[in-house]
Amino acid sequence: MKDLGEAKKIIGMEIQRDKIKGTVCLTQTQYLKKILERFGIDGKTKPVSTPLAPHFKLSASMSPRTAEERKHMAQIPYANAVGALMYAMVCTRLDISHDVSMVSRYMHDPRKGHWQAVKWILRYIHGTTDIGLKFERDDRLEQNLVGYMDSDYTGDLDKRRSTTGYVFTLAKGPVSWRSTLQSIVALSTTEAEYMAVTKAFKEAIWLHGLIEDLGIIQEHVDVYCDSQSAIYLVKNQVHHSRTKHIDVRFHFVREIMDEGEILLQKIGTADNPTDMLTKCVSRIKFQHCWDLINIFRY
Amino acid sequence: MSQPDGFKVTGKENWVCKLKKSLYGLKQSPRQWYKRFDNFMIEHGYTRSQFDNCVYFRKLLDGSFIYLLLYVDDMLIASKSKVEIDRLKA
Repeated sequence: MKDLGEAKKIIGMEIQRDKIKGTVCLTQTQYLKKILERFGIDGKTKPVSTPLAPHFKLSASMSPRTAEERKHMAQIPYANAVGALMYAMVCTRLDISHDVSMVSRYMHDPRKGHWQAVKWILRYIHGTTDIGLKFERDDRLEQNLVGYMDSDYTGDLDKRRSTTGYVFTLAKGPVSWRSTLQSIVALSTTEAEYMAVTKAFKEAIWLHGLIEDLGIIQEHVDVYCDSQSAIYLVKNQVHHSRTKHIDVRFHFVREIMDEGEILLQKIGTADNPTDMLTKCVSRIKFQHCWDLINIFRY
Repeated sequence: MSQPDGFKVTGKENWVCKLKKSLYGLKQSPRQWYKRFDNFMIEHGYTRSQFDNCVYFRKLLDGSFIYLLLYVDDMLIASKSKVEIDRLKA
């Protein structure tokens, strides 16, 4: 076994520490440059500012299937490219998690349009290889772990399912994030939001336990949600014809709230960084989301 | 299963050897490595986190912690106390 001294790199992530300011930064510049080279993106390629522009309306049947297209797509390393992006997304690049989630839905049968979207993401990475996560020393330890969540109603064009997105920050930097297609169809925005609350609460319970093991005692975790109706649904025992079918999730979330371990709080849409995990957002909104959770340009 | 070249015993070609210790490249080797690692950590007074099995931690006398994160064969040690880090590495 070899001792490598002060940690500089772990599983492909570069670690930069500033002991005076009390910050730790994680970047993946080397890895990203390597994958860009592998997929033929070089200095001549024009970078783009958002990972997926709204004009990509991805669906399973994007163009008619011809023998020619099939032959063309058989040569394209679609799964390789998506896999490479996914690793970056899991480690430090939560800014592309929604987009990776979009393109990975078509892994079994990619079309030309999907490949164009993957190339667009690679071009976005090309312009942002120096982006990373920053964690800051925080003296107010009692409010260290904070969660944000959001959902996008019927974002998926094939089966009309909704998207869940959440991010948890510790020491002001993101530690856990997810952007995923919900497993069942939601009948209303409130319901989509409600399913996202359930997912976020499950993650919050685990993280709360983990940081307690690590010696950070926090009385409760605040999870911020921008949907007032979902919050009311959790807090009040209202019975309504449009919500009466949401049964099991109801009881789970309410029970957790009653125990006081995790609390659901209201946040304005403008201050919610998870917008970028559930939908394609504009460049300005996108960078605002970065600032909210300490994604920085190195 | 056959005897390796150069180690064939005439008359007993269908015999196999019994391993007394684990070897490189065996299907069971990763498990053995992990077991040994886990035993080592527990012997040194560390606790494995119930929430994430790749995290080991120990509370130090001054109330601060030392953490060890395990990722296959890659490790990350974090603590406020330099002495404790060096002690764990040794």
